[in-house]
Amino acid sequence: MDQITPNRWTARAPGFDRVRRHTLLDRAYHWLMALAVLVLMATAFLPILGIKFAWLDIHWITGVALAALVLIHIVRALFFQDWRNMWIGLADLRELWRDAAGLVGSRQRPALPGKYDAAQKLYHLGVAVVILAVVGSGLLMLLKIDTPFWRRNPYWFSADTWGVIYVIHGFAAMAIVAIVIVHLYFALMPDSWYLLRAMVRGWISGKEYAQHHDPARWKA
Amino acid sequence: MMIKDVIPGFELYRPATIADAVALLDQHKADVWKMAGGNDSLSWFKDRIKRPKVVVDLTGIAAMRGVKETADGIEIGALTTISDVEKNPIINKNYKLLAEAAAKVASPQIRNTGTIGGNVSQDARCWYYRSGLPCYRAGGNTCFSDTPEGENREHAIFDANRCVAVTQSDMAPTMIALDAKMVIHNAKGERVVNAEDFFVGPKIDIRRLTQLQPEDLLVAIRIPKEWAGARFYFEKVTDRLTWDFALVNVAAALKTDANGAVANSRIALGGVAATPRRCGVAEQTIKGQKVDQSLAELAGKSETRGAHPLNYNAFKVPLLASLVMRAVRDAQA
Repeated sequence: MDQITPNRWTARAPGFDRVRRHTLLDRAYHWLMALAVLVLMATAFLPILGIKFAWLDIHWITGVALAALVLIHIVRALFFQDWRNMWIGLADLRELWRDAAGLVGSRQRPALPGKYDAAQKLYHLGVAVVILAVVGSGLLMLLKIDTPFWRRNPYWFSADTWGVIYVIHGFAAMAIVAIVIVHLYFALMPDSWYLLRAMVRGWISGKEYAQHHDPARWKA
Repeated sequence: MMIKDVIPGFELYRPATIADAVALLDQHKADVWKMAGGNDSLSWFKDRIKRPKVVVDLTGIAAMRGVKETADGIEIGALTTISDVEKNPIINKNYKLLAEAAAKVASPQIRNTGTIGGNVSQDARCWYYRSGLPCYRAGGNTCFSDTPEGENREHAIFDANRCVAVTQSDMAPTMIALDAKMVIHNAKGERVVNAEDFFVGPKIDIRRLTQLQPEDLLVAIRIPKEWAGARFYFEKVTDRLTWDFALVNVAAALKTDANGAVANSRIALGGVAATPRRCGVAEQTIKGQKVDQSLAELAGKSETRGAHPLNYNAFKVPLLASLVMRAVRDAQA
C-alpha cells in the first residue's frame, strides 16, 4: 500500500492508513478543467438564455486554456502516467456484465474494480470524445474572429464545411452540459463522497480502499 | 432576387394606451414587431426578410407623442415625429443640437412620419444583412461584409466583433451628447437607462443595436437640463447632398467657464461603430483648455487611436478626426 508520508496534518488522524488516489497535480488539473468547462458553458449558454454580456473574448481565451490543459493531460497520460488505469479491458467488460446482471436480479456479487470502475472509464472515454470534438471545432472557429494574435480569415473552409464545424461544436457543447449534469449527480451521491473527498484531499482511507477496490487490480 | 411585392399576412393590433401596447408585447414576445412611423418596418416586410406574426402599430398611443418640459429638463415622447423635434420651440431654444440633427434626417416626407423613438432604435443598414443573407446579425455564422471582396465602405472602424455593421442613426449620437435617459416599459414596469447603456454592440448582442427586447417599449426620451443652452455642434457627412445615411456624423455639447475654457463636454460619433462612439479622449483633451485650432486638431487626432479600418473604409479615420476637430472648434451656443 502506497502510504503517504505522515505530516503535521495526517499524523493527527487516528489509524493513519491512507492510500494516495490523486496527486496534487492531478487534482489541480481536474479543478482547472472543471473551472474552464464551467466558464465556457456560462459564456456559451447564458447569452442564449437572455443574460447579455461580452462573452466572446472570455470564451475563446478560456477555450484556448482548455485546449492547453487537454494537451498537457494527453502528454502526461501517455508518457508520465499509467494510461492502462483508464484502458477498458476484458475485466472491465466482465465487471459491466456482472453489474448489468445484478440490475436484473442476478445473485452474482458485483465485481470490485481497480482504481477506476468500468463506468468511470466509459465516462472518461465519452468525455474524451466530446472534449476533443468541442476543442477541435473551437480551435478551428478561432479562424473566424480577430484576436491580438491573428486576423480573421473565414476562407479556410467553405460555407458548408463551416456549417459542419458549427454543428459539431454545438452538439458537443450540448453533450458537455449533459456530461456535467451526470458528473455532478454521481459525484454528489453519498456512495461517491469518498471519491469527491479524494479529489480534494488526494487520498482515500485504507478501509475505503478495501471496501471499494480490488487490490489485485489496483496495487496501491 | 429579392422579392419586393405584397407584404405577407400578420395580425395587426393598434393599441390606444401604453398599458395595452405593453400587454400585447408581453403576450406575443418573440413573434411581435413594433411599428411606429413604419418607414423601416414596411421595407423589411416588403422584402419579406422580417415576417412577424403580429404587428403592433403604436401610432394610436397619444401619450407617447409630444415634447414637455419637466423639472429635470424635457421629455420627448418616443412617437414624436422627427419634424416635430426639428420645429419644437423648446428644443430650438435649449437643445438646438436635437433640432439640427433632426433636420438632417432623411427627407421631409420621412421626417414627417418617422419618429424619434424609431430613429434611435433603427436596425443596421448593412446591405448583406438587409438582403436577407444569413450573416451573424441575422443569426448565421459569418460576416459577408468583412471579407476581401465585401463592400464595407460604410461599415465599422471601431469595436467590430464578428459583425461590422454600424449605427447610422442621426439622432443616436445626440442622445449620447445630451446624456439622454431612455424610458422603457415592459410588463415588469418602467426602467430608465442612460443612452450610453441603451445602445449595445455586437460584443454584447450581435442581433440587436439597442438593449430593447421584443417585450420592451421605448416610451420616452428624457433630456436633462444640465446641457440646456450649451454650445452645440452637429455635422453629418454623406455621399450625396440629397437625403442619405451618414458615412460619419458627430454631435457635441460643450460648456465653457467664465474664462472661455471648456468646463465640460460630451462628444459622440455615429457611423464608426455599432453604437454611437463617445469621444472620451477628445473630451479629456479639451477639458480646462481654451479652444484653438491646434487643440481642436489634437482632439480630433486623439479619437482616431484604436481605429481598425476594413478594406474600403479607411477614409473614415481622417474624416472622423476632421469632424471632431470641427465640433470642438465650431460648437456654437
